[in-house]
Amino acid sequence: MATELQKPRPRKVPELPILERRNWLIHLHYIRKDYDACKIAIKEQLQETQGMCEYAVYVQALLFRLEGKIQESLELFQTCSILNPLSADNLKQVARSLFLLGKHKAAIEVYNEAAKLNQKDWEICHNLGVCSMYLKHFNKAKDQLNNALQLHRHDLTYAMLGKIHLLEGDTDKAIEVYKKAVEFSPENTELLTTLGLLYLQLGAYQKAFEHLGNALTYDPSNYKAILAAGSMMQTHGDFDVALTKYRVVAHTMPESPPLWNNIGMCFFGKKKYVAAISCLKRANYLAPFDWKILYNLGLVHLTMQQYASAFHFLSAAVNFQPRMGELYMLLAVALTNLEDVENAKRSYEQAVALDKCNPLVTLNYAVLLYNQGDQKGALGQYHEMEKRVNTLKESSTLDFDPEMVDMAQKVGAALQVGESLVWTKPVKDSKLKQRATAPSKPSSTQQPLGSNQALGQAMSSAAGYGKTLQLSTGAGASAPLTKPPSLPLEPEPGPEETTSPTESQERRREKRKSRLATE
Amino acid sequence: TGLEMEPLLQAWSCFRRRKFQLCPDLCSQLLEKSPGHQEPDSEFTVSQAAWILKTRALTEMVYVDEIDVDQEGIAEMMLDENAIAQVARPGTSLKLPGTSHGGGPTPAVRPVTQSGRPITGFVRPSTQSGRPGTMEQAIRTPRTAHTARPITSASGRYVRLGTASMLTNPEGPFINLSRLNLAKYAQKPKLAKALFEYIFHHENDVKNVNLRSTVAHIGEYPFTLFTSKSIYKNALDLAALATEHAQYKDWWWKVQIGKCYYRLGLYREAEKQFKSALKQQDMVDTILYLAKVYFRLDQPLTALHLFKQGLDRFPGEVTLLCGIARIYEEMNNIPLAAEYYREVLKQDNTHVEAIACIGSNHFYSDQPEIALRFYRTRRLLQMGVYNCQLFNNLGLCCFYAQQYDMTLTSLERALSLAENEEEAADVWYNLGHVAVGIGDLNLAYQCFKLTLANNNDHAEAYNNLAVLEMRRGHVEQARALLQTASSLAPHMYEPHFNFAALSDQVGDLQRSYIAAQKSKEAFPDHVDTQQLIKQLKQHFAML
Amino acid sequence: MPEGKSPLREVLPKQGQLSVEDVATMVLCKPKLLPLKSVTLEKLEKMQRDAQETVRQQEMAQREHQQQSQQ
Repeated sequence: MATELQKPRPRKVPELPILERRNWLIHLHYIRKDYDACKIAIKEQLQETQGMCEYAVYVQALLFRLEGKIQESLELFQTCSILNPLSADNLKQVARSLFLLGKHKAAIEVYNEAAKLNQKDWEICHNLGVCSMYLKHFNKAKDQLNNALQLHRHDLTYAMLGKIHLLEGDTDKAIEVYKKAVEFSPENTELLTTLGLLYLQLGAYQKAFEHLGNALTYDPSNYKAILAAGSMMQTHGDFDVALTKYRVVAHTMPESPPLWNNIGMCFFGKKKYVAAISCLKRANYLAPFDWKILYNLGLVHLTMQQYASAFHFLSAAVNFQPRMGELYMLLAVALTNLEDVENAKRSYEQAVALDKCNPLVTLNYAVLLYNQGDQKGALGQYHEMEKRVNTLKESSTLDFDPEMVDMAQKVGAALQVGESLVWTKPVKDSKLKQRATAPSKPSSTQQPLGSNQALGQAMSSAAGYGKTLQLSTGAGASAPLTKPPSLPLEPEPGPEETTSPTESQERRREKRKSRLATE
Repeated sequence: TGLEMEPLLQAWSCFRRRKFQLCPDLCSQLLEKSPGHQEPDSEFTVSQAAWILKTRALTEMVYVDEIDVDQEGIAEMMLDENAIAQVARPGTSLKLPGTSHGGGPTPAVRPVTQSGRPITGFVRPSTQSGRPGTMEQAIRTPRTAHTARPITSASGRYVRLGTASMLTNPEGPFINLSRLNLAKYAQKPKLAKALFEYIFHHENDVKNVNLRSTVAHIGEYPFTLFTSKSIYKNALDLAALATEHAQYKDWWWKVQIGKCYYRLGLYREAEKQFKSALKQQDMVDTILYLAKVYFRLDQPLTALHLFKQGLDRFPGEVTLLCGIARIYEEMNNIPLAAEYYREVLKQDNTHVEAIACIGSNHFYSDQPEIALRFYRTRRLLQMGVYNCQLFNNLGLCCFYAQQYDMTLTSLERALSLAENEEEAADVWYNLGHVAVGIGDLNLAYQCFKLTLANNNDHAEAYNNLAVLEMRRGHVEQARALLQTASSLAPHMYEPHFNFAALSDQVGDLQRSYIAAQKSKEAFPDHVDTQQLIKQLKQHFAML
Repeated sequence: MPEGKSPLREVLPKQGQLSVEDVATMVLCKPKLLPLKSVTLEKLEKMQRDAQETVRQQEMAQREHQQQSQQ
């Protein structure tokens, strides 16, 4: 529209106002999403101006893009560039169209042209970064995205930068980026969930929970957040709470394999094996390549002493995940019970070689060897097990499965190793079972059962918080959120540990207050 | 054996023992001995009897249950004046299956046919569920028929048109209709009835039928372009005369007239005849014929009503129960269809159709063990069902029910029983799934390749091969395979969705969007497609 | 070997593998149960095969006849 005004007026004085008015009309319709009316106005304008009205062409191009007709929109944007070669915006649109068509190199060239006209445009930097990313020029991409951030911070830029770090396998850097992103944009559920998932990956459960919980307050039915949060609840044994959460999402995601997998394992945790198998088989039908589902099917069938089926599922799993020691261990258990001792041994060998941390692997191998009369071999594995237990105790304190402890003591006794020095703590409450790799509080400050429920409750109220968001800064409604959950989880390694919870929660409270005030 | 049977008696005995080839020969000998053997007169009762017998035997040879048969040529389908306007209330039309009622398996679980309905457990030579919407689809149908409906539903017509007499009378037609005095026959009920059936099932009104001239070839498959309506005119003329002679009191002729009208596409007239016949004599068969008329008029609810009322008068009648079940299935109401099939089984536990449909419902509802019970029932074998399909299904059920020892033997047997390459292809395809299930992707790859070797148009195999290629990182191969799959089977959502996902991954968002829209059309409730479209729209909306 | 003691058995893990996120992947087309055919359909198919066979033989006979008459 600006360009129209700059044109010399002499002969067309009476027409100009009409053109201007129509441009305004086009603009209005577009903003209001009256696309049909918009198209009519555009058509009229183009007829009047014999196709020379830049703005009309521009908006038509935008409309094409919205409809997914990218090629057409590209051509129109190119027309705009011809009509007005000095507009950086036109070039940007051409470049964006090229990008949407997957023509990343060409897009970069045009963006560079646009940059010549307008140096400090964050959008250009951002999009250059994204194009470079697709071309796998990661370093360039990172530079450009950082440039963009310096000019102007934006959720998308952070997200892209984070994604690149992840593509490079640099989880720590990714977390840094997402943290900044979340600071900048604390209500973006996508960012919150991604960050939560990253913390979960690292085993930083408190932080993971914090961010996932936040995501759920803004979007209580956020599938990604629920899946991740639910899996955390399951890990802590809160199967019923997890199931309730899952049921909510199951309506909108009826055929989600990970969901059915987790639901199945909730039932497993509650010892409802038939239900577990039903769910797991459905998950497997929908996602036959997913090794985790096959692992679980194997595990459940082993628990039910259906060794042939277990073998079937586990050997399939091994095909998809050939370097997981635990799978070979389970396979060995199946083989043992199918009376194929030779292959069971081979499987254990493989398991022990691949998994150097899990004491359960060596324990079970020891059991087999002992039962086969190989005292020496059994002893060797037993000592290996002790080593692993010690290593684990040093790096993080954890609860071992009481059944494992019990069996280990029995094996020790049978092998006459004397009073076992490995197991210094008393057998834990049977509810607090953890996987060997999951860190948690030491026995001296044994968390009461209640705290697990607190986790579940906190999550529940966090999920329900969204409904009460309209309340002004009422203490009751916001209380569950402002305090970090009272989980006695072991602090994770990281420099910013001690101060940030309070600091960030202060900031959050401020932001929330101001946001609520403006509503 | 000094006693020689009276020749007519011999012929009759052959007929009774279903020796339909031998019987007419014997009759011919008899007829040759009498003068005017083509036109029996009232004085020669033996030759009359022989004539009737021969006529009936020839009819039996090519007789198929009329009720089961429901065939059209392409042009009829396209020019069907009875085609109901597209705007019908949901749940009232067979052409708009709508969404499945109350939780049947979605296309993510159970494969669908080109009409968007889930594949059924049983197939009859009927076209309704396979009715293509456009001429293009109709022409393409034969090549992709294997996922939708059997070849013979289209080519059954081909068989009937002139070939019936080819099978029975290679030397030339036994009865030359142009020389018959229909009025005379109309007055002799027994002769008339035999003659009528002969005409109706032989359709050899056209002299010296040359198959190729009446049948077009599209691709490799013969396809009738039109019905020769004049064929039924003769039958109709005879029936009209006969019914008049019977003073409109013979319900049997009314039904035959109805059948002729049906074949001529005059459904309202057919309806009148059947209704009139029913008033005179309540017969299950007539009800079934009338229901077919309503089916053709796209009035499934009327048909349902008719059946249900029929059940009041004929409680527990299997054919009526089955009719109801079929309608519900056509209307994509799987739960109700299953209910009625179960009723059928209560009455007749050898009913193959019910067994097959319930079995397949169970399989696709995560109950392969129960499905196995159905397919394994000795009844099926007793009923003579021993074919590729049965063993294929047994094999699949065994696998998913974790009876691994039986899986491969069943599937092997299915392969050995395959009657053509298309059937073999399907078995290889399922073997591919078994291979995936045990984690042997190389084997799966081979199986899907073998599927294509047997049937070069197997869309599902192309799709699955594409998925395997993607896992190996061969993006270009995967892309090409998906394009083939989606063009072969545009009603399947999987290739469209996969193509959209692939395009999205490489950044070609336009192609991704177009493919995602196609996926949505095929399967509107597919969550992953919806999310992909949402993401793409966000990209497009950003300035 | 243990004497009179409870036998030593393997210990199974109590937690399985949980899915924490849903990465959208490509979908396979599902296994196909093959519809069983009705008696009518079987008969029709058989008739079709027979008819095709008859036509083929007729054509062969015709061709032979032509060849003979040309000689």
